[in-house]
Amino acid sequence: MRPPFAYHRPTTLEEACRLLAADPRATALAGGTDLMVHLRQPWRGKRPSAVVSLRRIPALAAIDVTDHALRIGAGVTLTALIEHPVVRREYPVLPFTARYMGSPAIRNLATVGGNLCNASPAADLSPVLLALDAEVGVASPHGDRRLPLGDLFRGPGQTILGPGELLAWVAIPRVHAGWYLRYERLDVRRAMDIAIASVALAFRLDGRQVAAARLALGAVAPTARRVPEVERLLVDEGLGRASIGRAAELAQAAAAPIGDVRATAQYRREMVGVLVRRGLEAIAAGPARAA
Amino acid sequence: MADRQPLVLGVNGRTVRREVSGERTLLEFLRDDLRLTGTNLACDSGDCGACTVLVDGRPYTACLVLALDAEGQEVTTVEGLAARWQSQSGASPPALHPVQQGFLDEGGAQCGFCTAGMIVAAVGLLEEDPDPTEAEVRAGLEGNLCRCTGYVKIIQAVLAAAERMRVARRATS
Amino acid sequence: MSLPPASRVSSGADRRDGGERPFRVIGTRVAKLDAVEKVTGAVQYLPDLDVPGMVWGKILRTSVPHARIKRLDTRRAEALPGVLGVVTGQNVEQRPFGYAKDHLALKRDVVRCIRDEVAAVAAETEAIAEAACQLIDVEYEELPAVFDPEAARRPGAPQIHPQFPGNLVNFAYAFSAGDVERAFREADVVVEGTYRLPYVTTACLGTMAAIAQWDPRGQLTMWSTTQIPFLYQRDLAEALGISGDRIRVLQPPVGGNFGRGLDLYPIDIIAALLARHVQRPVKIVFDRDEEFLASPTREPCIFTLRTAARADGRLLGRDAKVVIDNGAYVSWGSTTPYVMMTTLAGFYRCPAIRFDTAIVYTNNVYSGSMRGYGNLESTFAVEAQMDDLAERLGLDRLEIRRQNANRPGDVTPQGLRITSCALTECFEAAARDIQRPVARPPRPGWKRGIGYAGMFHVGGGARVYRSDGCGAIVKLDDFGKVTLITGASEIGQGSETVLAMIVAEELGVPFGRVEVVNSDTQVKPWDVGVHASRTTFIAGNAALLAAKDVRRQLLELAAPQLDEPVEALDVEDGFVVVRGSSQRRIGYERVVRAGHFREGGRILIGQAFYDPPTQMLDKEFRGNVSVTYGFAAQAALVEVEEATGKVEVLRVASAHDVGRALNPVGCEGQIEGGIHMGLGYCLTEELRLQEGRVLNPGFLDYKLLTAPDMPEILITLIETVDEAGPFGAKGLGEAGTIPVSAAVANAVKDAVGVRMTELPMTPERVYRAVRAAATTRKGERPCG
Repeated sequence: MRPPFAYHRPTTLEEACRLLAADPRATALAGGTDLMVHLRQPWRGKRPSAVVSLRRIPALAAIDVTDHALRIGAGVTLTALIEHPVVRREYPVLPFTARYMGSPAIRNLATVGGNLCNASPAADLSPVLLALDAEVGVASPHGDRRLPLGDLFRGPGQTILGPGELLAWVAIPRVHAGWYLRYERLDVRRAMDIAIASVALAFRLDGRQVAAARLALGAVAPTARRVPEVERLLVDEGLGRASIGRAAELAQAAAAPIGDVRATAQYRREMVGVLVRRGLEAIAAGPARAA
Repeated sequence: MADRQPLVLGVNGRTVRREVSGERTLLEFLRDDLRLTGTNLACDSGDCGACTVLVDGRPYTACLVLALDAEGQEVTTVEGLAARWQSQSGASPPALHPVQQGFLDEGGAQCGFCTAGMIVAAVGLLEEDPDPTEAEVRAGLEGNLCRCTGYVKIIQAVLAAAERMRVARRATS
Repeated sequence: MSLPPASRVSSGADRRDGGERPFRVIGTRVAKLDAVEKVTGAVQYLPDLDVPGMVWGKILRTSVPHARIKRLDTRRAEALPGVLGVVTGQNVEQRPFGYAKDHLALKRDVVRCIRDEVAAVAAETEAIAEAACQLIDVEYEELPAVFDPEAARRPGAPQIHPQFPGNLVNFAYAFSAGDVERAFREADVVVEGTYRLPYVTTACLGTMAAIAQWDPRGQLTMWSTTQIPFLYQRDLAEALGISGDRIRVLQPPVGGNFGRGLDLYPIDIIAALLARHVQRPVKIVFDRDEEFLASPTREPCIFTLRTAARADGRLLGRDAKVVIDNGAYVSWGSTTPYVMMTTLAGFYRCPAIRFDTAIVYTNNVYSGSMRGYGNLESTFAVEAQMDDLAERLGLDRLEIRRQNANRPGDVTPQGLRITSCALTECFEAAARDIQRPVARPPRPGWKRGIGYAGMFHVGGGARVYRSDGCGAIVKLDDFGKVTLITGASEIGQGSETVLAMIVAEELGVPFGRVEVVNSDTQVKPWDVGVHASRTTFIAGNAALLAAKDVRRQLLELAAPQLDEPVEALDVEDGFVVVRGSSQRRIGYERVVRAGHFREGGRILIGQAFYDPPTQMLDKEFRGNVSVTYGFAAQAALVEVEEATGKVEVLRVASAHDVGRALNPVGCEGQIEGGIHMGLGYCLTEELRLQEGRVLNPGFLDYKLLTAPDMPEILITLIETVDEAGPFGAKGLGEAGTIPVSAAVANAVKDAVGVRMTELPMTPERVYRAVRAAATTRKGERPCG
């Protein structure tokens, strides 16, 4: 059972923000795949006075395609993301990543925004969207704003969203020819498992040169994070054996993993090296845009 | 308990009107308010799939859904599958859904506690993809845990059902 | 696309004993008796049941593993609207229970593990009961605790029970045979190893639950998830201080058990105490966290083994010491050495044996009985060393097993008499199936390996209690309907289905004509319980004998109606027929009606109590506990990725000496599910405890294998047609689980050359082992 709370079902983002701002003890509910679990865990101390359901706000469930960007509403479910034709065609790493998350039933409920705002250090979409240079839009009673995705996360389970604020969308630039997108993830079971360590890569190759490199680590730090020193190294030196090896070492040093019931910190750190090497070698080897 | 609010939704083809409190889950509503106990509570955290129901044809883990969030939607539980198939295929009662029949024919249920959720998840899968490979069936059921069967006869049952459903669809089209 | 038949059954014997006619029901593929209810959602499990006037119970557990209860104040809880009452160790009368009587349902002064129950609330709704538990004020004075059995044995360790100083459970499982010292002196090779086996749990989808209802005469009805209703009846009566005849136990369909229901537990006693206290029926259902925390586990142990052998591979001796982390109280986990010993002493021919245990109290959670019951651990150690011996001696791994394999007619050093035995044939079948072509080649970075392991387990009952019996009553009514009333319990494994098949076969009726009644101790005859893979054999023999009794009565009744002597008659498809002229026949319903509806009439009821001709092990652990024994062999094909340590099992070939496959669907189902449980044990499942607290009480981090995780499973059922089993059958329920871990560990060794001695073989553990081996090899080279 969950502790009792009131229920609101706004149909616009503005109404949702207003309800949240008016009651600081209210909480937003998207897919529920995290919140509904937390609510039955008394040790978390989550006892909201009210839940503001975001499930009937059309603006949040839209995926808009422009020439410059793909804008994904925070309420887009993982299933909708997987099924969207532009996502499948241009960012196959996104459906690939989403298929690691939960199960078909969970993916029908879980949302992109929920995964980001839950801000688990091991969230799968966080490193991938970071590597895709995502920007997010925040709806706020103080005025809507936009910021780089990396600025959204404050720490494990924490975002910078204040009272009355909601994540409205996440946008990624349109991807053109020459981009290679990959997600490397280490887990134990084939399904229903949380990443022990993960690496997301988005590289633009120009012949044998690395024209752009974005690499993000997941599950091995308080938040998902890009590794700019690795990115610079690979742009400068390309994807040869030596630079790949050096990149793996730098990535390991940049990780700040913890030990928990799933893995020790040491193992996580070592696996960062394995996954980085694996991802870079795959990109160096060939034309597959994602696994 | 918090104040109750009105809820109207479809359950197994009938319109249901009740009053529920905000924190009531769809699973609690189905089992306790409507006495549809076929769908089981096994973990209450979305981790096992035993509570899988169809909502507007899509599988959801009902323990994670607030009842009030299902307002206006059509929920199908294991108890409604036979009628669902009968209306889709023209088969007459008491014909079971081919997935249910497959479980009978292949021995897909032992203790049966996961069975309702498993069958509903399989129905959801086959309505989406009528011709899955064995690997696709496994992936479609990856969120449904079973402790008794090792999934072997479950997979066999779903593949047999898929064939039966394809044949029936060809016959009616 | 249809999958190939799931198993190959190899036997020469299609005809029933006596060679009269082929089986009509036995050996056919049937749907379980309760399958329709289960696929339609009509089945009512205990949580689905309501009893008029019922209220909800919730248990408050300790927040620290080892402490004195300084203060316990329930007033705030009792004042909450909707609460009917609260019970604690202070306000109810209860007696110690459990195998060692070291356990009180509601703890009075001291809590000894994180499970410990300090109070329970009855309230109108589950939510109120839960909220009330939060309002119970408890003050604990923490005591020094110990969470490791080796530390618990040292002088100065915190004492868990004052009456058991040194923290040693008062059971001695010490066995020796032959001259072990000489065996090791004269051996050409000795291998040794220490194996660490973890906590795992049954993780049934349906949690533990109980409903207790007292009537005005002081009779108690319990709805329970137990699998030992009659022992439960006796133990519960004792714990409550009433006589056993005042308790009735009902067993609704249950969402799995696997040994969980093999003892009386606090939930049962507390439900009864609460119901008596508030004078309303009380229902308690564990939620999932509570199930992981409080349902009994498999016992963790440290298994140290040495094996001595001759250069030609013949085993000379085994010397084993097992240290078991007993946890805070004695439950059935503490008695698993009984079975560990049987494998250690009897699996493969080995003349000299020494086996000893130390079962140690700690402040960890306590273990019960779980499928395989010690045999997984024992087999893991034994089979690891068979491979190690083969490697040291340069022998083929299958050959060394063939050489030492048990054979029909063997008597083990304990005195277990092997009758039917197809162990060698099982290895052949598994070895053959594992070599079948694999659809895809190994992935880059992954190495393949094959490993073998066999198993030896009771297959004809198990006399671990004074009685190993089961009663059966069969009645044939004047509609021609057959009802079997059996003491055996259905726990989801299909026992009632196979029993119905046996009765249908014997009585010559279609399978669908037999109903089974098995869930009320007031009605069904006594059975010791579902355990030790005994139900098909023991309950099957009882049902068969009762059916034979009815058959005899039926033919006697029909003889004058057909004007033929009894010897001239037979049964066929619901008719009594004259042999050789089957048009002369009468349907059962007519025979029975003619015998019933008349002056001096009679009805047809047969009964039997089958208690096998076996002996409990004596004080020296000698005897023959089972009428016959089951054997199996498995082979596992794995792929290991050295860079990460990930192990994937591609195929398990599982061959079983089943005596006779009465219910092939059921046999396969038990094996397939058993393999799932065994793979979980060796790869992904572990109940993690830290300072006595459970870190992963949920399905997210207690990882059962999902459908995509499962390998291809190839099953062979070998029919040795055991002379003592019903239609030749032997027990099978645990066999699929027992050898898997050993086969997979041996396959990992084959793939990457490391001997994993600790389970589960998580990627991290395998990775470390591979790295350590590589470092060792580097260190051995003269230069880098």
